[in-house]
Amino acid sequence: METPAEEKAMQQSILEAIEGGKVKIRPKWFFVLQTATAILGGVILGLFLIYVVGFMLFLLRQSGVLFAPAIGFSGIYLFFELLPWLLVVLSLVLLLGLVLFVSHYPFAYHRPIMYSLLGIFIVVTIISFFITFLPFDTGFLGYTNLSSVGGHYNDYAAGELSGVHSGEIMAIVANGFVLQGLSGETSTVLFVGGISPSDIGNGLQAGDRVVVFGERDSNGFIEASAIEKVPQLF
Amino acid sequence: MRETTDEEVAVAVQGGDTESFKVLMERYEPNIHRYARRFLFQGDDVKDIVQEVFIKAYVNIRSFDPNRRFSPWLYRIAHNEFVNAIKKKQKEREHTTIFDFDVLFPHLIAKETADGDMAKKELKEMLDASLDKLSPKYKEPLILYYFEEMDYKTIADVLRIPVSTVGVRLQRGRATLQKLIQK
Repeated sequence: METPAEEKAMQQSILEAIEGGKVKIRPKWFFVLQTATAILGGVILGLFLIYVVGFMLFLLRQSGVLFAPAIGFSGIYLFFELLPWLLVVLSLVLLLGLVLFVSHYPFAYHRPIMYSLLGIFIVVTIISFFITFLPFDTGFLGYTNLSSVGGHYNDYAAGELSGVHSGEIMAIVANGFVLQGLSGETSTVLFVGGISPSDIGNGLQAGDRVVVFGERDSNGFIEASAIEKVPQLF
Repeated sequence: MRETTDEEVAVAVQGGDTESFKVLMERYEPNIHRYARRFLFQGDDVKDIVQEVFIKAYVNIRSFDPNRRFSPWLYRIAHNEFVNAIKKKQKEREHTTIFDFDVLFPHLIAKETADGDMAKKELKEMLDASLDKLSPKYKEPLILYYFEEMDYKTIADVLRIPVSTVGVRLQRGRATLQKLIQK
């Protein structure tokens, strides 16, 4: 236990250091600048996260992978197989960074971290969804340009992944249709496994945007094992 | 005459009244010293660390928001200093993880319990005898609750953890302590 004399001595030495100028108060602007820099960093981190998630949603939509789960278990497997994992990992790292950032503020650290994590995830997903799919169109954030320099991501953006083909129906032909891919190339899609145009939604017709699941045969025809019509919103 | 509040004194220090800082030191030095002695390991240079707490408080006093309470702000500085001292000493792993598992998910068992005076006194005695056997993660909330007599919300502010986690750590700390004593 410290004696009153020892307490006084410690206080005295601190006051002497203050009065002697060895210890100085940091100016108010230092803390204002520190807070502003932290907030700016958080905002940049958040915007970058929205951009990356938006790009990921853009690639999934363009390639048609986003619609894969609608065809059942095989589609769910395909969805996870074709997820752009590098972007997923980058998004998770940015998300954790943002959670760490907000955890310095009482509104966040008073609650379990899971709440901040879910809150940021939901807000980022909604904003990314809106800027990717709604009025701004795909050119808004330059994703189209980005994908053309993205090497591996070209296949996603062009809707030409192995097993998933995205495009517009040009014409219905016997037992299939002619599909124009996003890059402008046309391919013939053949119905296999009992699929017929009337089975899909309200039936298929020229001008419909579709995603075709299936591999190309040796003649270059796409053997469709499943077809999904792309909703108007997308 | 009404005694000036800590927050009013802190505002005076922010305005350049260095003498007022002495008032804050006189009010808090015994408490911070007691907190340090219980939280830090024997052999740590408690006096130097406490001195560093007050120097840091003075240097950063303009970051204190007078609309909030001064006490949790000062204890937060003390907590950081103590944790750094522990890390330096024994490379404590528990405080180096990014997220503790118990701050990740919500907890149901977190209500502030009103211990009876006797129970509290007994626990304090038990704590005093066995604190060093507990890990800092459980030791610190117990010290703040039983010896510094803070409520859950203030402890949550000092440790920057959810209020429900304070309840969980107190409960687990007490349980660990009882097991240790039964041994």
